[in-house]
Amino acid sequence: MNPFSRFAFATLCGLVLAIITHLATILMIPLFSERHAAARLAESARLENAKLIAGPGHETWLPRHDPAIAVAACAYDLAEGPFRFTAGTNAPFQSVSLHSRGAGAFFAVTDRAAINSELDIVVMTPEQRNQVIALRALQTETDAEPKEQDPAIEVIAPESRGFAVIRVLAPRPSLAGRALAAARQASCTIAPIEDLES
Amino acid sequence: MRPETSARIGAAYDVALLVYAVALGAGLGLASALWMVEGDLPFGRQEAGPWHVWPQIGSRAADPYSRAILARTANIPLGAGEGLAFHATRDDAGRLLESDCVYILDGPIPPARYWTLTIYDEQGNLAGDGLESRSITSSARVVRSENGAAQIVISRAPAPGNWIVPPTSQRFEIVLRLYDTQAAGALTRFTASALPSILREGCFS
Repeated sequence: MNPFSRFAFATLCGLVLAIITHLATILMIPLFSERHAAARLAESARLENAKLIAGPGHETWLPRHDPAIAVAACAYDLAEGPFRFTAGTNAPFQSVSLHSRGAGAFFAVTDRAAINSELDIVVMTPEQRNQVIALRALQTETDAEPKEQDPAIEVIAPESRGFAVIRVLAPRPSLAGRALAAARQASCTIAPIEDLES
Repeated sequence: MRPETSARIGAAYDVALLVYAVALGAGLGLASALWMVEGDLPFGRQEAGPWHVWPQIGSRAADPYSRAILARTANIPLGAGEGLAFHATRDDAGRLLESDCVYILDGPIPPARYWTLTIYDEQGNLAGDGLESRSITSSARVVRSENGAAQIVISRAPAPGNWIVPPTSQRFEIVLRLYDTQAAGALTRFTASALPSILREGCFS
């Protein structure tokens, strides 16, 4: 090969490399970005109640936040066990969404899905879900008395780490305090698999 | 030239080409990736008159570029099923929204359990402070005429009826958020007739 065609070949290789770098960078930004909401919420994984991140009259890092909505969130790590998110539904409107770094927003539900004015969501990995199904099958076989409990909404998470977000509406300024309190009261706990039998 | 010298030059040229290819790949790849994640979400945008919306960003169908941008802005989008946010930075005639002008929003708002209309300045900051601000209105606050239509006036000067105030910055953005709406969904196409029109009435000065 003469020097010029070698140069052209190197340029071509460089361009192919550029496309690979471009795609890899785009795919990796959500996974490693320090600015990601998940990174900012990492500390909330140890809390038992959701951490308020935005709300009426509240400073926030959320861009273009709606001042009529109180937003609270908590991070989870399913390696410690299934994650249970519970919130009362007394506000005019509220919703819960689940997010993870790679998959983005993967689940959302409004208070229409509430049973006995409580939203109860359990997030599991596919393996944990299988264990729960196996335990339930065992329970029906042994005719054990099923526990009296309202069924929770069960969600399979695409990644073991993520965070749950609750949004509570304050239609009028006078209701801001109640919305903030409702958002803060959402509870985030680890639910042992044995507790999910019912 | 001795044969060894020319072989050495050839080898040096190969190394230089290798360095050049790697530098070109890394530089161009990173620069183009960073360029793509600055600014607005590039894909999945639907236009409806002056409004635009990204119906997919709250679902698993969101494209990788949108996810990267959401990550870099620390944004938590409304999940599909929670609600939808419509953005407008231009009026019906395609002119950028200016604080010095008077605008009238008129027309239907898609059915939703609740909606809010909020104004942000160029940096994305809320005009005024929170819920008490004169720069937001909502389905709970808006005053309707006898036929059920709501007209909203955006103006620096007080106006009768539903009046909201633009920010002090020159340009601004209107965001209409629908909470718990049937309009959400990947198959919905939004048209200008389903959303309020933004008409410029005139300008100060």
